[in-house]
Amino acid sequence: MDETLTNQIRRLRFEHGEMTQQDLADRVGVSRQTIIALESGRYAPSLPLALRIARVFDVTVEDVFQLGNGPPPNR
Amino acid sequence: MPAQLKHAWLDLVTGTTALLTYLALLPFVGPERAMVALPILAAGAFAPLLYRRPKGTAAVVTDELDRLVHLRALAVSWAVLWLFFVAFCMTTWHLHRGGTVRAELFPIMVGAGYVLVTVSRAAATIVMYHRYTAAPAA
Repeated sequence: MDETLTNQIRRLRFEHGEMTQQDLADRVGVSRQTIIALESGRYAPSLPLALRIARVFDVTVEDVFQLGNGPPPNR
Repeated sequence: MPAQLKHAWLDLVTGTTALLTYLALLPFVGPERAMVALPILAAGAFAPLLYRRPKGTAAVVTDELDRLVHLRALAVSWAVLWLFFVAFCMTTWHLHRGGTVRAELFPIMVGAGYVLVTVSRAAATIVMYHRYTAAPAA
């Protein structure tokens, strides 16, 4: 089954005061490169990181990440 | 630039420099004496400086993506090392009249193997960071 992980991180950042990638990276404890890789769909985060990102935006994990059809991202 | 990526560039530069220096010296001093080029790799000892956290900041030095890249690059360099080791032993065994691998060649094999591991790991790291963080196609 082809499944790809899509996310709403970019949209959520802009809805939260145009938060920069570096701001988000600092708040969840990763580098800006990891946020770039996440937003571009090239990297699937660990569960703790997904939960930290959802917590920053005060939404559920499902509001940030969705499973869709297509090639799987690098894990 | 992530600390691990800076480390990869340092390893790539020192490894390539050591390899080129060795190849440049080879015709003049022979394969064993040309190994004086290997101490260039000692520049890699400065790598821990790249992982220092800037003072007064909470900057992230390494995270889960860095660890994934590190493990994958290690797997690539491990494969390269084994291929080199088998190719080196088979070649010297085939070329040597006695049908054995000459013991005096082992230091060269170890040195060349270390350079190959260093360069291949660094190159794999750089390529993977590029793939993960390159801008998406329009």
